[in-house]
Amino acid sequence: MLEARGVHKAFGPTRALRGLTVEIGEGEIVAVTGPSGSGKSTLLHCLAGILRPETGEIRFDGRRIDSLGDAARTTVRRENFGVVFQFGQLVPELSALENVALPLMFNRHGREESMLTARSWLERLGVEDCAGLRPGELSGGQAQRVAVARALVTGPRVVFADEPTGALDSLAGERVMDELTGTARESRTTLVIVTHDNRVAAYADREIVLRDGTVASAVTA
Amino acid sequence: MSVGHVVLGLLSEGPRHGYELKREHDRHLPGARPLAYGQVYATLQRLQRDGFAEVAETAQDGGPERVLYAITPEGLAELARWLGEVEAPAPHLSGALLSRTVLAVIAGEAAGVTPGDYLLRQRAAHLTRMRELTARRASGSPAEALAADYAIQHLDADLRWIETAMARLTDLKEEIDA
Amino acid sequence: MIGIARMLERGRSRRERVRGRLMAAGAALATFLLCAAANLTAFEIDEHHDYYSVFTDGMMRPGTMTALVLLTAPALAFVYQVSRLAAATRQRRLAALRLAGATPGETRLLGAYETGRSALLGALAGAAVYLPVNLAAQWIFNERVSPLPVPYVPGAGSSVPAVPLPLVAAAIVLVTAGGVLSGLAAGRHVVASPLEVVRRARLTRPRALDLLLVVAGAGLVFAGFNVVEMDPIWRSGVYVIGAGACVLVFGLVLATTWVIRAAARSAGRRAGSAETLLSARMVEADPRAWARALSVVGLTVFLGSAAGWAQTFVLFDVWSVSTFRMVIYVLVDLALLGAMVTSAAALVVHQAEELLDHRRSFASLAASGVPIASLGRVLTRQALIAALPVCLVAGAAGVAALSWISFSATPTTAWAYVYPFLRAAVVTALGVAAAVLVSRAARPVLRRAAAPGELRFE
Repeated sequence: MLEARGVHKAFGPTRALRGLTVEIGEGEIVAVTGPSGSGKSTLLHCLAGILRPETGEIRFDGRRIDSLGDAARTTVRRENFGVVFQFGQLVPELSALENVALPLMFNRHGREESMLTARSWLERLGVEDCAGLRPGELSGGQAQRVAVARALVTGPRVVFADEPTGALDSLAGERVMDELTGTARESRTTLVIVTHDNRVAAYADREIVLRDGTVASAVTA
Repeated sequence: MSVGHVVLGLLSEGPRHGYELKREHDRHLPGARPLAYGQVYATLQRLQRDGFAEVAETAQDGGPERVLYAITPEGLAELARWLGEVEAPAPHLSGALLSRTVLAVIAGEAAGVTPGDYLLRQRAAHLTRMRELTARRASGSPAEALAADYAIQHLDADLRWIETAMARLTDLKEEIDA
Repeated sequence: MIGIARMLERGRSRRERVRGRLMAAGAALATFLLCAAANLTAFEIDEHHDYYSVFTDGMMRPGTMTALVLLTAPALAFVYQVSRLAAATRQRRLAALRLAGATPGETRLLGAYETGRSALLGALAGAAVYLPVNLAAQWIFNERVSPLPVPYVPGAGSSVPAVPLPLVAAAIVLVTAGGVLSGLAAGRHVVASPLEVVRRARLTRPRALDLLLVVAGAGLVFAGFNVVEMDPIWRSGVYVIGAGACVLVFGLVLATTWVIRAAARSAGRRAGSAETLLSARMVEADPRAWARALSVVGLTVFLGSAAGWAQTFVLFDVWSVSTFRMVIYVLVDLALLGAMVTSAAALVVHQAEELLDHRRSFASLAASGVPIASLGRVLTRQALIAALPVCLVAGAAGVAALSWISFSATPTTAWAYVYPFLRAAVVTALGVAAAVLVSRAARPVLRRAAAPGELRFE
């Protein structure tokens, strides 16, 4: 459903991805791991159509998205993808509820309807008590669960999470991962998690280990 | 960790029969190896001999004799002393991992295994186990979650060691070849 | 300390250099205006002239000088706004310095040094640019060479000397000091601890000082009218009234903080689209910064709409139409336009600063598929929500402030009463339009702020 084939991507002299090939199935939960600088986040950005690789192909549902223009890729992202980042992604001036409703409103849904849907997602993630609070008033774990709600609110087919628990302690991180993977499984949403934390990787069905911009694979003995 | 201290701890909540002790042990410490009945009674006898536990009541209503055990003041003191200590921070599993890795570097070529491959496979095995534990933690009781946490964090330590080992393989090979 | 500052100087990035140049440009403009005012003090001419009266008429010259000095306000506001932006982007460097043992005071001094240095360079450049203008003035007024149809014929004993150098030096010192002060003041908003840098929580409520300005301004205007009656030559009283009016309007515009907040709050409550909701909430959270950034725009709108009364009696034939008057009106409008452009530029800088604070949240919205164009609309609507109340208040105050003129004249047509209101509406619309248009200029900053690179660790 989501695949990268022979992808190269460099930032100036730094070659982040070197001919990388991966394939991710519908509803699969995949962890992308590897040491710092192995190209994890770059791979995520390429798969999500945020960055364009220099060579190679990125396909979503069999359709090439790397060759699309900026506007078309933005549309693909808006209609199909959700994103969760390490921290700071919520708009500090909006309440938690408004933050979650925002993607729906950007998709031209009415305000009332968006707020209702947003509230149900906050409930689903167990943070309905935070609806009226601003991100600055939330704990790190609550903020990340609100962020997860915002990523899922549009009913995306793929959710990309880049170090979603990177700024949390283990218990708060566990709660976020439980909710994220639990909801993804329920709704058969594909989930791609970039992490350097093995405990987060253990939530996934499968692991892709990156090393120096390619997939490290063992010869099965 | 000694079984004696665990039994003392369970008795500190109130007098117990032997089979109750076994059940509670298995319930509170799901990560540990289940206690055999024989082991429970042997331990209780040892505790009685040392004066840490005593027989509180013996009942026999038709069936087999049922003995209720209780902790003594000396036992309580011993329990307090033990809880005041810490576990020797000894690395346990890494010994096995270390020897495999070093051997993979030394004899890998002869055996047709590269150390990098070994470490990746070991990583996959560890992660698979971690995945099972993570799933169990999500569905289990708080005690099970605590036990799973313990195992997960230790596996995580091993995994991080494996990552460092991968980065050090070249140095290790140079040293061995030299 | 200076040594460290020099070292940092060499390591500046391209963007930091651009900011340095912007500050220098603002300082240069202010210095140029001050030099021109200084030069006018030395003019030894007192004659009427259709085109050049603002320079040659002994009675008009003080007004011209005042206008020139007032025009430095938007230029200096621009310098302050850029130094705030610079302080915000300097954060990471400052944190590294704190880790290396610098005290918080020293990091602020570094900011003051950087701003002061740019201001000094700009001031020198501004003074240098003024010199040929001074030569041209001497040429026109002493040598009778005029680019305009009516050459100036100097009377006996009239002369335009070179600009007095001590005053030029004073202007340079003044502008540089202004730069240093704005660098120090901008540093207040950033707390650089060795481990991280936090933007200090901003004041968002109207302050008592604003009301004090309003009261002081009104008092000055009132006192001015009394002085006018005691001093029939009209000189001293006019200055007092002018200064009072400026203080009054400045106070009023700053007091619009609560108007901006109320407008933003109601816009946020009724917002149907994500763009409006986001922009209203962002303005609501920080209305004071917007009031500050818009204060000079408001002042310009006030003066522009107040000028309508003076013009209406000339245009509708109460007083006689003369080239002399028309030239003055055109000059006043040009000066107001210049002030509006300069102060609108300060607005772009304010939005750039705001984007810097929001780069992570905007970058993540962009990553989840919100088009950059939508985020651009957020900027535009913010400007609209904030500028509309400020310009309305300023425009209405302007048209009300000088309405007393209408009692002292009897116009022949009702249009004379309509014109000032029409003009006030146009000027208000211009102010809002300027704010909205410049918010489009912040789009390149937006594109950078929303780039995926901003999603990585700090």
